[in-house]
Amino acid sequence: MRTISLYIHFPFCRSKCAYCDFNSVVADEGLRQRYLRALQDDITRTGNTLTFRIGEDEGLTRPTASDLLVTTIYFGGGTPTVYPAEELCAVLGRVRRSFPVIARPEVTVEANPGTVTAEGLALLRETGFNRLSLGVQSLLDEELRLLGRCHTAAEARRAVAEARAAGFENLSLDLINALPGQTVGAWQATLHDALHLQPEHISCYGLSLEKDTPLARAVEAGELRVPDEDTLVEMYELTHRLLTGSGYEHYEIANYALPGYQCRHNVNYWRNGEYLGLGAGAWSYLAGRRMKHEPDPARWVEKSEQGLPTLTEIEELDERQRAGEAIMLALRTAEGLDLAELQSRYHLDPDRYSIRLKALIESGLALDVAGRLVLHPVHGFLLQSEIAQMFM
Amino acid sequence: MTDRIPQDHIRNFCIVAHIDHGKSTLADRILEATHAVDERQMRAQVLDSMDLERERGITIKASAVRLIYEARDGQTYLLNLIDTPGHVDFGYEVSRALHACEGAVLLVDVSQGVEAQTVANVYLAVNEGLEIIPVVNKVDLADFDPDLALGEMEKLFGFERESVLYTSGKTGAGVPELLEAVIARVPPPQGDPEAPLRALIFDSKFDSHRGAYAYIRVFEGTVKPGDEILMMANGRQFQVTEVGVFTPDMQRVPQLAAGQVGYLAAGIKTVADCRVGDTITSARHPAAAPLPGYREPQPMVFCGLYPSDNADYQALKDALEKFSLNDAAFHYEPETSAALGFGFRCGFLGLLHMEIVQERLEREFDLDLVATAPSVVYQVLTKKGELLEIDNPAKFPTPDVIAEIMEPIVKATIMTPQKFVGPIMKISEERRGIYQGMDYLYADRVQLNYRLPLAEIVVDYFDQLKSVSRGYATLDYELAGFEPSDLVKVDILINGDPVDALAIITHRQFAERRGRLICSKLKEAIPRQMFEVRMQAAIGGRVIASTRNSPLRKNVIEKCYGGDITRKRKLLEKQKEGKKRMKQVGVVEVPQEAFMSILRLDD
Repeated sequence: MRTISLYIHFPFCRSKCAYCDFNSVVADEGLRQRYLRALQDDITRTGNTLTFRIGEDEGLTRPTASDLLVTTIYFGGGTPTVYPAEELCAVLGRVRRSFPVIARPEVTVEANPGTVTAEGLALLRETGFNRLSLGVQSLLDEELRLLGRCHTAAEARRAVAEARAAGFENLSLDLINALPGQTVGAWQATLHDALHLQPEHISCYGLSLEKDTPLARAVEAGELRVPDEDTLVEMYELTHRLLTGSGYEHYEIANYALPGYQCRHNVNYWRNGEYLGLGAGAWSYLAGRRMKHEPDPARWVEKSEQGLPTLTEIEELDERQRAGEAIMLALRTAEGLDLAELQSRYHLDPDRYSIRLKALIESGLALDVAGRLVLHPVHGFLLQSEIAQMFM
Repeated sequence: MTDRIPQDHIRNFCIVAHIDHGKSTLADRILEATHAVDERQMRAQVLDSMDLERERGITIKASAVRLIYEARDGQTYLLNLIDTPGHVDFGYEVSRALHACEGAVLLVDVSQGVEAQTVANVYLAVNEGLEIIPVVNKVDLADFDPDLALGEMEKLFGFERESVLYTSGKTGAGVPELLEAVIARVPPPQGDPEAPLRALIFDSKFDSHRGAYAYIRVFEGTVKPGDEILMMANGRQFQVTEVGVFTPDMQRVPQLAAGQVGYLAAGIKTVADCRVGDTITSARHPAAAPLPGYREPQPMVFCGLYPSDNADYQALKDALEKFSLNDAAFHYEPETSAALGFGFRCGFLGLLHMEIVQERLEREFDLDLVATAPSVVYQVLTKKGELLEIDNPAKFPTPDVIAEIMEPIVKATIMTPQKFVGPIMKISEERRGIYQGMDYLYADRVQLNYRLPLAEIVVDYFDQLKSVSRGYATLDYELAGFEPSDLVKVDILINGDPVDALAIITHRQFAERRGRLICSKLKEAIPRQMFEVRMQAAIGGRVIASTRNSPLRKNVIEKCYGGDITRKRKLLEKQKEGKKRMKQVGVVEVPQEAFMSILRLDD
C-alpha cells in the first residue's frame, strides 16, 4: 500500500500582498473559470490513468490504482477561496470520484479572512473540508496595511468566529513576524490575540524579503528597517515560550499544534513522504522524482486545454540528494533524525561529523533522544540550516 | 633541410626582456616573418603553450623554435630562437637557456626603460659570452621618445646609440632588420661534430605517453636515434628513441649535430632524470668533462599543500607525482598537520613558482587545495651542536634547545625612478633590509642595493615595492647566504588549541605586531558560525593578542513545504558549497583564505 498526499494549487488572489513572491496572480474571471475547468479535467485524467504526461513518454509515474491511497488533501494557493465555495466543493467532489481516498482524510483549505463568508464556510465544512488554514498574518491593522493584506484584524476575528460556527474543529492560523519596524512587543500582542482565538494550530514565519516585492524595495531604499538578529532570536524564543506555555507542541520549526492536531499533510512532507501536486506550479514527489507543473497560470491552462504536457521540471534525485533532503527535513521536526540511519540508510561515514555532533550536543543546540538527533526547539531550530549542512 | 644547412649558417639566439615588454608578441612576428607559422595557425603568443602563460602573459617554461630564413645575401640560414622564462624565480633556467645561445636580443620597452631583472639577465648573458643586440620595442606608439631606453642601455651596458634597433611587435616593423642583424652580429656556433657528444639540457617537457623530452643544444658531436646516452650529473643511461626540432611543433629529424638545437626522447620516465643544466654525452664514448654550470635546483620558498577534503589525499599525491615529472625544480614530501591532516610540504623556486604550481594543480587536476603561508628554510643550531634545517614553522624547535637560528639573506637589486627611492628605502628598512648602496643610471633612474632577509620578501616585500612605486620599481634577488637572527615562533590558537598550520616564524621585534595582525585577519577571514571562535596569538605560551567572533544565532529557512523542498535543499547545498574549501579545526570551520591571509600583513 502506498499512501500519498494530494495537493491542489489555486494560483489566484484578490490582490497581491506587498511581500509576496508566491505563485499567485490577480486574474480576470475568464482565466479563473478556464483554470477551474482545466484543473478538474486534469484531476479526472490523472486519477483515472494515474500517469503524468511529460512529453513522448507517458508512463513516468505509474502507481497502480490498487496500491495507492490518498490520505490528505490540501487546497492551497494563492487563495483558493477567491472561488465560491460551490466551485471548491465541486473540485473536492471530483477528487473523491477520481482517486482512492481513505475513510477519514485530512482535507485542508487555505483561506484569506477577507474572502470568506459564513455561508461559504458552512458549505465547505458540510462537503468534507475538515481543516481551515486562515492567513491571518497579524492582528494589528497597522502591520496588515504594511503587508498589503486585503483584510483587517477585525475581519480575521470574524472569520475565525464564522469558521467555528460553520463547524470547523481544526483551525490553523498563519502568523508572520520579523516585519520591518516590528518590535518584540508588537509581535507579542499578535501572539496574545491569536491565542485568545484558541486555534488548534498556529504557523509562525519570519518574513523573508523576496527580491522585487514592494516591501523589499522599501527596505532597500532605506525607508524601512528589518529587525536585527538579536531581535529575531528574541521573537522566536518568545513564540516558543508563549505557545508551548499554552499547551501547543512545537512540532516543526514554524509550526505549533495542540496535541492531536499536527497537520498530517505537512508532516508527510517533512517525513519525506510521497505526494501528488496538481495545478499550475504544483510539485509532486513520486518514485524518487520531484516534478513541477508549469507555474504560469495562463500558460498552464493553455497547455492543459491543448492536451500538452504541463510538467516543466523533472528532477531525478540521486542517493546523495535523497539523503540530503531526508536529513534536512527530519531536522526540521521535533521527531528529529535517526542517527543510526545516517549510516544504514544514507551511507554516510559517522566519523566525518562526530566531533561537531558532539559539540552540538554539548553546547545544547541539539539533544540525543534515544538515538535521534533532536534540535533544541529555539537555538537549534534557529540554526537548522547550519546543522543540516553538516550532513549534506 | 636542417642537415643541409652548414654549421656556419646557424644562429642560436634568445630574447632577454622584462615581463611585459613585448617579447612574446615580437616572437610571434618573427615566426610570421620566417613563415614558421602560417597566419591561419597564428594565435597570440605561440611560444607560450600553457593556458596559464597566455593568461598571465609570461613565459613559465622555456621553449624553442627553429626558423628557416632567406637572408638578403640570398643565402638560407637556420635560426634557433630559444624563449626564456622571464621572472626572478627562474634565474637558473634563464642562465641555462642563455648558455644554449651565441647571441641575445635585448628587448626594452621604449616607454619603460630597462628593468632590474633585465639588467640581471643581460649580465648573465654577457657572462655567458653572448653577443647582445640591443632593441627598443613598441615604437608604434604615437610619439615615442627612445631617449630613456637608449640612455639606460648606454649607461648600463655601454651600447652605442647607433647599434640599437627599433621594432614593433604590434606592427612587425623592424623585424626584417632584426633578423639581418642576428645573422650579421651573432657568431655561428663552434664545436666539432666528430668529437664525443656534449649536449646541454636547457629545458624538459613531460609527455604522458612518451615520457620526458630533453630540450637540448648540441655543443659537440652528433646524436641520433639508437645512440646510448649518459646524463653526466646523475649518471643515468638511456637509449635515444627520437630526435627532432621545433617548427615550433615537434618534428623528427635523423640527427642533431654540433651547433643545433632540438629535442631528444629516450624513454626517460621523469624530468628529474633530464635536469636542466645537465650534459648529455655518449655512453660509449663519453666526453672528458660536462659543460660547465650545472646546479641542483634550490627551493627557496616552502608551503604546506593539503587537500580541502581529506578524502582527496591520494588524488593530491598522484597529482604531485605527475606534476613533478614535468617540473624538476618542484620538491615535495609528505607531512602531517594536526589541523589540516595529511598533506605535503612543497618547495618552490620562489613565490611566483609557488602560485603557478598551486594554480596548475587545482586547474589541471581538479583539486581543492589548502595552502599554508609560505616559509623560507631556517638553519637552527641546537645546544647539542646539531644543525637542523627547518622549512616548516610548525616543526620549529622550542627555545630551550636552540643555540642559534640563521635565516637566508638575499642580495636584492631594485631599479626605480628616483622619486620612489624614499618610500622604497622605508619599506626595505622596515623589513630589516641593510642598505648597500645606490647607483645612478640614466636620467632619473637609480639602482638600489639591499641585503634583505628572504623571509621578509616572502611576506609582502614585492607587493609593497610595487605599491609604493606605482608599479615602476623592479626587483631581482639572489641568495647571499645565511645569517644569525633573533627569530621567534608565533603560535596561533583557535578556541585554545594551537593550529600548527598557522604558526609563523618572525623576527622578535615584529612578533607582537604580526600576532595582532594575524588575529585581526583571522577575525575577518573566519565567518561567524554555530560556535564561538576565539583567536589568539602566543609566543612560548604567553598570549600576545586575542580576538573573538560571537556565535551565529540564526540561519534557518522557516517555511518549507512540498513545493519548496528541492529548492530549499539546493539553497543549503549552495551554502555548503561555499564552505567546501574550509578546514575543520576542532569545531571551527576555517576557510582556505585564512591560511593564506596571514601572508598579507600590510595594515
